[in-house]
Amino acid sequence: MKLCRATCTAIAVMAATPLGAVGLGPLEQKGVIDGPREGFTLTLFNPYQEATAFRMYAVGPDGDETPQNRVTILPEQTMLGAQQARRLLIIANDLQPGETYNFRLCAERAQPPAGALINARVCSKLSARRIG
Amino acid sequence: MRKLKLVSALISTTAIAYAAPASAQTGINLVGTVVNLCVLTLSTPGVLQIASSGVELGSAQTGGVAAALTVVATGAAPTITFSAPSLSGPSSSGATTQLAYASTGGASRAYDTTGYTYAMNRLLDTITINGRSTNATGFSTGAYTINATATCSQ
Repeated sequence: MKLCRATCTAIAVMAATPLGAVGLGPLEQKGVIDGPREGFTLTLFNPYQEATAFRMYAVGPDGDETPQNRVTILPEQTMLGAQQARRLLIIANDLQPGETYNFRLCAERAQPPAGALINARVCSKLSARRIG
Repeated sequence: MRKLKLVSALISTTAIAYAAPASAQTGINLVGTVVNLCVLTLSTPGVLQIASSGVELGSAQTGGVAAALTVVATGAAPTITFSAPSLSGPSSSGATTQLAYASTGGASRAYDTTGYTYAMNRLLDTITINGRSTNATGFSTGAYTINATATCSQ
């Protein structure tokens, strides 16, 4: 195997086209319910000039990347036209009386571009509280 | 003749406009609501180049290009959280990978191996990101990628 020297041509790419981008909002929502399920609606936006597939997933709050199996996301993956937006329905399940359940709903490209330096994603903080 | 008809039409229109009573004025309101939303766009791809020493790959080397991440937020200034970077490629094992951040809005971080949290004080900003990776044993031929995740949230 040859070692690269100064005379090597460019061999490494921090990011290749197409670039990463995604839009999501609102970035924070709270809900109070007297039952075991609470729903939220978020808006996903495609900043690209072409149809792009996005995936959505739930993780824990405050930097916790643990997947949240109690959350239903409709849809979990979607294809959006250029510069188009659509609503997402997020449901927090199995809320116990008196429980406050915090999690994040994140959206990013379904297939991040190969060689991308930065994988761009947007996360919305959601909080569901069931009254006791 | 055509000119006469046009003038006649204009006069007639004007007359109608002046004939309208002042009391019939109606306020026109265009109403909108701004919610807090964030759009992250990697607006410039970065390019790594090998240093003359052969032990460093970096965007600040000659021919390299820093990446640019554009943040467009509405409603409230968001926080951008960058994960710790990693290098993939033939000689990634044993390499130390770092990212550095700067922006006109106040992002400022020298090269570091750990993640970075940038609490924005504005709604719009473009963050310039430089990356570098060092390996004392050099870099074998192949494609290399420095990866990190940028998360926009409140």
